Amino acid sequence: MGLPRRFVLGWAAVLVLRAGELHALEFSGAALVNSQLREREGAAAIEAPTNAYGALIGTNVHHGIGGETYFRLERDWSRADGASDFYLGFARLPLRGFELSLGRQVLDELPGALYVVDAGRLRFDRGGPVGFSLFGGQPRYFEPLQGAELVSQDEQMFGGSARLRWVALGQVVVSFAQLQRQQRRLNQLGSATWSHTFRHLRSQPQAYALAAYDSAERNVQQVTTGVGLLPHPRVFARIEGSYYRPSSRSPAALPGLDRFVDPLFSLISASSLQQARCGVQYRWRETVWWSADYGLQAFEDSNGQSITGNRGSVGLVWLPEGDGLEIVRSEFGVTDSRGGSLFALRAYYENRVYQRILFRTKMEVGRFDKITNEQDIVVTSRVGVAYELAPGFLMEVNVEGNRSPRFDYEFRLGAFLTYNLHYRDGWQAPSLERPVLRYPGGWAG
Amino acid sequence: MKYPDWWAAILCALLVSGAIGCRRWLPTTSYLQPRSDSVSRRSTRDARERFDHQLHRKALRAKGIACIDCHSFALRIETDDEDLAKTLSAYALHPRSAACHSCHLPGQQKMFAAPRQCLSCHRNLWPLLPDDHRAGWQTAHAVASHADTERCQDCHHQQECVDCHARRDTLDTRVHERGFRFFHSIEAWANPMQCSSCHRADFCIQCHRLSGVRGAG
Repeated sequence: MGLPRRFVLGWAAVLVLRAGELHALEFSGAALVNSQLREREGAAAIEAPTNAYGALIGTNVHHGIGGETYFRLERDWSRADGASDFYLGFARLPLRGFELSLGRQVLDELPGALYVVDAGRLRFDRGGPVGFSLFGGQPRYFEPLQGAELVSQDEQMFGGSARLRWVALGQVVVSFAQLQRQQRRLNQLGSATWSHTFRHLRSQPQAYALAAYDSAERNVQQVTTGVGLLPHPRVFARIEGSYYRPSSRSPAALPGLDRFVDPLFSLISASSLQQARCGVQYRWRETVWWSADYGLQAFEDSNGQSITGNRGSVGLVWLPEGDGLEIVRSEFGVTDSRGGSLFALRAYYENRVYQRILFRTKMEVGRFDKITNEQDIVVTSRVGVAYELAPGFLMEVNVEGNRSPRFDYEFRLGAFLTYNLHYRDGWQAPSLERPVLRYPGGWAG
Repeated sequence: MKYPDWWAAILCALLVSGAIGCRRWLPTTSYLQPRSDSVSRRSTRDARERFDHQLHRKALRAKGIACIDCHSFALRIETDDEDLAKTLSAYALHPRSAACHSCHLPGQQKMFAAPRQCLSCHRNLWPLLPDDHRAGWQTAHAVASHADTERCQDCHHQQECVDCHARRDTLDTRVHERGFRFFHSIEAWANPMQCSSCHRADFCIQCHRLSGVRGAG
């Protein structure tokens, strides 16, 4: 990992050298070191995974120059081969009303495999009625949660977008992006997004719509339209409908699948999915919200059979005293699909009322009944207490107790160190007093 | 070693209800100080109290902004009650949020150097939470963020997108809890579109085909 280290140090050196001529400088960032001792049924030894994360955002560094960095380092101290590193960083350079962003990603996932890719964007958007951007390079999905690293990483993406804001009709963004792998075109997506709030109407409907068309596959990939309403000062409702037909189903996009026998392909190739969902939230008191939502999905599998799925949930958010220093969230959800049925109860409590101390706990209990005749109960729970060692510097000790079909028991003892920085011209905001802005229940989860 | 299935759930439920129920009786020491009045109301008063004339003096002078531009001296108070007059006077002199937002509100161009992040002044973010963020927002925000990126940037850094969408957090779970892997097939069959908002199809293939995990049942 010599390259990202040099890149980080170089970027830091630029910032330090510029520090003498800073004005209206603003920095925010975070550094986290999370460690756990993990013991579970059947494991030969106690495992000791450790993750480190870091992010730094600089704004208005000398004539509007700014930048953002992010890295993740993973290591399991109980195993010699458990290392994985990821680094991302980009700089923003103002150029006569334009903004040029240049970024680099580095992934060191497999032994001997180091991927380094670059991308750039030119943007003109000063908040007026018109804005546009052009971008090109290699896409940002190196974090392996999005795609498998065993698929070729030789991908390129380029395109552009234009934004037009008209007070009477709302805002429209039109964009185009082409993605290709090893010189083969995977998709060529044109999309248009529109949003507008009708403030003159009584319930102030907030309407939005998205349409995406893949010209390479001649496929309407997605159409989504919805509206959010305030029919009553205490009630917020949202209705949404979607049509979805993924076009990335070519052999180039999905290698390694036997399309005739693999049931997974039926799921991935879900065609002509139609979805209707609605949600409502009711402010019972100033500090208590109830929410409920329901979604119905219908799609065809690769054999042309129609499949439906239902998801619904009810949720509660309670803010004792109403200041966000204490948060109670609870949700009960039901899912019924071809894969089986699931009942899940989730609860979360957070308390930062006492100075320099944060207490939080969460639990999820899920009972599932799969089509494969597997039935079981999954329990996940965590209790953590954090102490603010210095402004923005938190140390949390937490305990996890989990139960699953695979492990009758699993314990984790964790130590999480977090440093949150928000610096602006000599003023530093203490982070513990900042309430965490999380979305209340329902779809928001 | 065999543990009862429900012990963890019961223990956690007891801890949660105990912490909530006893919060008013927790001891008060130099560390365990309950919330102060300044933050214990559902208001944005914390931002007003943060204002510092000294910090703004140079910038206000450079832009030619005088006292009267923010403070109203036009109010005439006719009362014999001196205390009431003082209260009304202080209230009338206090600038409303528009005075701050004329420079600090995102999108304003009056003073280029004025910080525009909500957190520059506000600590208590709950009163600022937009109405549409309170129900279904996690699902709806994809379209909304494409349509109006500027509105997101009023309060959020782009880094926050990366934090949720591209951060593989195996120790501090964020999106899916640890048990999710055991019933994710039920969720995936209910709504495959939901999975594809973060994962590509080859992410499924990684485990199901290349690592030998059995099919999508």
